[in-house]
Amino acid sequence: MRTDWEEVYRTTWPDVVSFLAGMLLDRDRARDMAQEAFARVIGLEAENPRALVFRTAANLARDEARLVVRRKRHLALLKAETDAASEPSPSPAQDLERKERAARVQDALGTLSERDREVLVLWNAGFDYDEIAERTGLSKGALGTTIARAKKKFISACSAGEDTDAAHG
Amino acid sequence: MPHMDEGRLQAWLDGSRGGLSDEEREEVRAHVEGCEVCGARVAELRTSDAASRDLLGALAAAEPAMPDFSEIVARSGASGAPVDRPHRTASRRLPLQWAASVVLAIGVGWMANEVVRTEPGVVTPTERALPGAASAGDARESLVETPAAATQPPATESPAPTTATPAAADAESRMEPPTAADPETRERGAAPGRSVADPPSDPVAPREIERARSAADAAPPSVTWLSGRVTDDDGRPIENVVLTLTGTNTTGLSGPDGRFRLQVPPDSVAPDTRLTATYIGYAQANRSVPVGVGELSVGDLRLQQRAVQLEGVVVTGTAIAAERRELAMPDAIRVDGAATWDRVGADQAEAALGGRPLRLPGADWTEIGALTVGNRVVIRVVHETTAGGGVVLYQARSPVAVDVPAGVGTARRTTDDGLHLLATGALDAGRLADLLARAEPIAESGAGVPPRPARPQPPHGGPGSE
Repeated sequence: MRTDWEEVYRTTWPDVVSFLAGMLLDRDRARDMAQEAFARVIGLEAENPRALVFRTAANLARDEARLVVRRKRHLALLKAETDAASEPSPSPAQDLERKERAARVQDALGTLSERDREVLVLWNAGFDYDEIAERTGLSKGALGTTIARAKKKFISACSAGEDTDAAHG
Repeated sequence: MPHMDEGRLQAWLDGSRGGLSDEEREEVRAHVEGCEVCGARVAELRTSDAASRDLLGALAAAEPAMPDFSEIVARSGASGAPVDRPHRTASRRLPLQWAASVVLAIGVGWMANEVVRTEPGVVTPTERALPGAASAGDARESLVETPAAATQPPATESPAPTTATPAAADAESRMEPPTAADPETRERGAAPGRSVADPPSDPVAPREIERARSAADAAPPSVTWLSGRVTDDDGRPIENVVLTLTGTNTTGLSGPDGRFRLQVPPDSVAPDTRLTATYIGYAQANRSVPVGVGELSVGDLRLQQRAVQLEGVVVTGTAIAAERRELAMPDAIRVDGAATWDRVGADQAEAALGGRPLRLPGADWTEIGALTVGNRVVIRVVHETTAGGGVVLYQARSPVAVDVPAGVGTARRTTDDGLHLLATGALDAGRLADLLARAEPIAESGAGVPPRPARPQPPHGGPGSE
């Protein structure tokens, strides 16, 4: 049976974007890369298309990470550009709130170590431990601990961000 | 009995993907059931699982609407395989392994219209291919339906990607369905309309070739044919040399034996019209054009080799938006006025590009591909590493204009080492190479800024470095 990529795309897109946003800490690029990932796989036959997309996305993210040694340098710039380019939305208040939340989450992820972040994001995307280990260079046996720790750090970083915002707001 | 450590509990919670054996999982289960402390820890972990997922999901929730699927299809038009692919499973001599699991073959944008190579050495301006002939539907279909064993492509062959079955299978087999991690299935918004589905049109290429042939055969006697041969200094034939009649639309390519035959449009030859032969890595040669009708020969054109630093032109950055900015890559290779683009096989492209000029350190392959999907042209330049990492150097889309104006076009290096490729006419492998070779800086003032030396591409980390 032919893989219905359009359906896969429709149902998987948000997850792929958030996965890549977590990997790249850049939502604009995540969108672009998500498109790229889909563009690379549509038309292929796959028993588990969703897995194929995620795997392709992870590879793209990894390749890029290797290219960009100093990613963080650009973040400020990118953010500025994103803000400037943001389009008006039908419901500005809601949209703004969502954006703020996403930005907070992204910032929180940014406080994790590179490795913790990667593990967390890969885990969230559904990769199995074998593959997470392979991609991050961690031992499989240590993954459970890393995941549990990364989750905690991430959650507390998120709430810290919220508190700060609340205090300022 | 000692308590379970948190990592083990987490792995247990992650079920079959957690890497525990059945025995281990059973052991954890039994322990958790009987141990209040560990039971509480598991509950905590479950909570943090849900919280993390929820928070991470917010990253996408703020996104603007997802692009229509047709955009993805369009983008995939010139796309290579999934990055994930077996380790160089195919010889790079295999042409048209377009979307294969394999290395990206080089495809150089090839315009099916205008220049159609019919027989060795004969290029005839012909009817144009219908713009947009390769519809989105086509592109999609072709991804799965083209036979894998591509042979030497005819010059106008349609893109012939192959499925990356091994890669796909490999990829799938290694991953649990992530759906497990995603309890609330997304039900956001209605499905985007199936706007992709332009009715698949017939492949244009073969028909065009036929037309070109019959046009040549049925040429009235008053037509002028210009033939000759292109060789290098040592008399060896050079294929894919671009031959152009200055001041006219007439162009052609030399065949494998170096021979060419151009149909000269009536009344197009002025006293100063010259036939130029251009090939990457060689100095341009030219000849005056004899006046007359029928078969005219210009004899051999010898091309002198010269040093070309093509790397300086092509090495410009990556396609990822941020890096594109950083490396001052232009966002697009502009192809204003271009009509139907197609791909040529690796051999042809490579020959046209003079062997290796487009390779980057650490990259085995460079791909330049262009394809019309719907009403857009998708172009990408991709570098491929031995172990399967792909770096997209360019990706661009542009609206397609129906009319193809005269001339080849220009390629310019921007002052910051970007590449601005403006094709105003039919573009084939040879011409693209020519454009690349002639890239020149754009100066704001109009005064020439000397091209800066090549900016080396940062080597793109060793593939299996994990």
